[in-house]
Amino acid sequence: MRAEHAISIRYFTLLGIFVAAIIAFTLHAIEMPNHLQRPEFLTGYVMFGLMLLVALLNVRKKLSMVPIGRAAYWLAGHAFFGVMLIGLYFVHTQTIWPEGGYERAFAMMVYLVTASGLAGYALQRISPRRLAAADLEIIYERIPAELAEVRRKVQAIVLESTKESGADTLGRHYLESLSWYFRRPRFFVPHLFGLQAGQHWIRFQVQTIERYLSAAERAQLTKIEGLALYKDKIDLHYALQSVMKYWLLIHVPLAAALLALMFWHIIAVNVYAR
Amino acid sequence: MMDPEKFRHDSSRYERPNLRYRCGRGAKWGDPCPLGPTTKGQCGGTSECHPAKVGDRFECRRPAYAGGPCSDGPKSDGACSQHRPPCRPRRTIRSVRGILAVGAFALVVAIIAVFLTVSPSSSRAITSAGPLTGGHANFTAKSGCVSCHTPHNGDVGGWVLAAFREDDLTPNCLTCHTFGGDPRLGHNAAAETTPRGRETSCTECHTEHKGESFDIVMMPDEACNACHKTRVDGFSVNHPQFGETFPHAQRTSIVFDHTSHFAKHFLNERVKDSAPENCTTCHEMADAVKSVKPRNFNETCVTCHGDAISSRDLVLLRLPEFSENLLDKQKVMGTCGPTLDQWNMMMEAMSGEEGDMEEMKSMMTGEEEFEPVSTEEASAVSAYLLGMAPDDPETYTKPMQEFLNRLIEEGSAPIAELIDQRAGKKVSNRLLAGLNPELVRRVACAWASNVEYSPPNDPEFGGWYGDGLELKYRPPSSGNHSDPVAYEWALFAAASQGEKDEVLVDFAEVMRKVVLSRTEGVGACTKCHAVSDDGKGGLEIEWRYRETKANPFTRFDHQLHLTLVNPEGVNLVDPSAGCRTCHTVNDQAQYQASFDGSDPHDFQSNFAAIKKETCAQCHNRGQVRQDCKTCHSYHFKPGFDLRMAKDAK
Repeated sequence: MRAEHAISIRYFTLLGIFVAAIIAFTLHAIEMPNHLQRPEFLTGYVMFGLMLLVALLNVRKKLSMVPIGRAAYWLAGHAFFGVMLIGLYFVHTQTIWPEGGYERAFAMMVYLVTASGLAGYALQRISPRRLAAADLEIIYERIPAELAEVRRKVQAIVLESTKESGADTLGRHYLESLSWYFRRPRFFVPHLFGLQAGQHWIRFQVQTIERYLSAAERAQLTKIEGLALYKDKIDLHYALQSVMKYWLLIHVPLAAALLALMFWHIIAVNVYAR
Repeated sequence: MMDPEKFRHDSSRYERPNLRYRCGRGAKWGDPCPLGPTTKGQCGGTSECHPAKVGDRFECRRPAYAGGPCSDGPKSDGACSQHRPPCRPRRTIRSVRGILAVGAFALVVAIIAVFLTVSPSSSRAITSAGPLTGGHANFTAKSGCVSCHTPHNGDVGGWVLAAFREDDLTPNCLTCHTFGGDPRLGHNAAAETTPRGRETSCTECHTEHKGESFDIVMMPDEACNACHKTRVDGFSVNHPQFGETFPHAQRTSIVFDHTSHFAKHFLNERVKDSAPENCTTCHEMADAVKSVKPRNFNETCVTCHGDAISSRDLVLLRLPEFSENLLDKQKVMGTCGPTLDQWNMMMEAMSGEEGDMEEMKSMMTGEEEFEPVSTEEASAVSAYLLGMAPDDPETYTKPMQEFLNRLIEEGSAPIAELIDQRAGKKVSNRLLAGLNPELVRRVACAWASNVEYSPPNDPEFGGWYGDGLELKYRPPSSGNHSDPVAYEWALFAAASQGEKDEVLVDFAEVMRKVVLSRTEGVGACTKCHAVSDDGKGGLEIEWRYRETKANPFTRFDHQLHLTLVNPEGVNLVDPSAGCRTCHTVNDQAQYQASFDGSDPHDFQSNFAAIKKETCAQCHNRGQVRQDCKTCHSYHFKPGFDLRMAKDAK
């Protein structure tokens, strides 16, 4: 524990030094025009370096076997440097909305990448806490199998109940209502926003059918309700983990497009602006 | 909490998020098969296991988490006996993300490539950093980027070379923009006091491609502080106090004593009614910017000083006192004819009286005692022209008399010859304009005959005339302020400052003092027009109102300020009170004495120096802007080469 704490201090000290250096550099760049110096090339190349550095997070994740720092620290650096890039961008362009089609496309991409990054970072900070409070841990890739298993169990209970009671009340209710729920994850949006729509739906279904069931069937219904509530937690996981994964489908391609724009920008300015 | 036993190695399959494909059944929320898709995206779940041959038999290899070996076991040919229909595997999120990322990168590269190759305009769209400012956009429309940027051949090699070559745009800027000094030096090195410093380029301060309405000349105060050692954070904060004579760095070109006029002349009962009402009666406000020009002589001064010009004569020649008469009287008489006295004497001699004949013979042969008609000195002008001391008869008698002989024979030509000789160029035609050679001859004849010249009438209208012992010029009383002859003589006198002949230097100085005398000079030109050092060792007469050359990097717009009200509420456009907000007469100043010498910088202004505090009443924090560029400019005499307009067509 103490060793881990020491590592944390070491990494965050390093990160702090980097951040301080970038802040100092930014302040220096802001001052440069006041000394009749053009900061564009200097800030531009520093931004280029930082963008490559933040892009290396993806490489780091793929090279998990190589001991080049914890992914968490890389992520922290990715976020810190990403935010600083926006500040440097303003110093670099001296405007929030430049002139020229290409420059505007570039600016738009910078803003989109940053916005998606910030949104993703917020999701990464908020969603795990909510998942931890759900009293269930499940790997995203196992959700289909888990849902299938829950569905099998519910169907088995319904069949058993029908066989034992000789009544098809519960079976028909399953076919007409509950099967919709167990077929796949439901209430995606309410789960994202922390609403209890799933649980309300389950209670409503239980209360609706309960009065028509015998005591034995009610016992089976209680089991089904338990599984439905369990599935509701899986649905919560599915919703939050999906968002935590799918935001990267926006952020990463935009970042890749930004890198392409950046390479051409570097070529163009070296050809025309030097 | 989920049962952890479910994830034992024999209870569940090992999920690999980094795989590119996932089971198609799972993707449709069915029960995913235990084996999952292949790495190439094909369904791997059509059978539940891949039986292994052990010895001569096949054994079931269904994993434990899928139920372990099946009861049916493999078929005889080694195929799995448990079949299910194939699914269509789906890509994992990670895989989709990778495709999108690579696709986005490739899409951008493709778009750039298309833009570069389709047309020049699309190529410009992808290389231009933004629209040019209005003026630049217009004249670069024809030639495009190469109007400013060094062309590169457009091929890859050219681009690569261009990327490593410094593209100095300044020479291209200078094809249109002109300056009063070296454009690459600080403040164009216009002022002698401007430190040369390092070379600069236009793009250090001026940035283009920032939009049509971008302020390309914008310059922060800090940029000024980059070079100026005295840091200024705002005019009212720590701008240095103005100079002791601000805004004047030298005396005025026109001698006008505001103090004496305000306090004495304008109050004089004789001219009181003609006195100007206020400042703008004499000062032209219509086009006042930095300087407020006085109106011309005929609109202002002529009311009181209209006669001054024609009241000051130029004495070109004066008959000096001769120590002896070396002139050939017979020759003079032969050429000029007898004088009235000689004629009378001849008539008396012809009447037969002996004594008279003897007296006439004596007069003709010059044997009688010589009594010079003049006891004057020679004129300063003739002394300089002839190179003789005007007050030493022993030295000038002979040359002057020889000169008179020439005048008798050649009229004004000898004078013109000497003038051109002294000036070093042909100027006599202008200096002697209107001088009748016959007048010169007659004056010379009279003087050679040792008599005063009697003009046929008074010089009522001015011009060249002889009067007793002098040949003079009087500016005509036609009201013409710019008398050309007086003007040329003043220039001739001023130019004599550069006289190289040591013998003539002193004579030139005397002549200069006379012609350019503020109290006696011809046409009274120098009464109002200052005679100043021209900075090249010579003198210049400041004929025109001289806009101040001081503080070339400071601007002040009188017009703009006249629309305002000073802190006391006085409208600055009010000429009787508004002007005094900044300009207060200094009645202690020795203004007239400033024009005794020729050094224009040794002066005292009529007006008290303007203090910084005067401006800071308004130009203060929270009030009117007070940044450097409010009053100062960087470039010296910025202008345009007209080729710019031509090329834009």
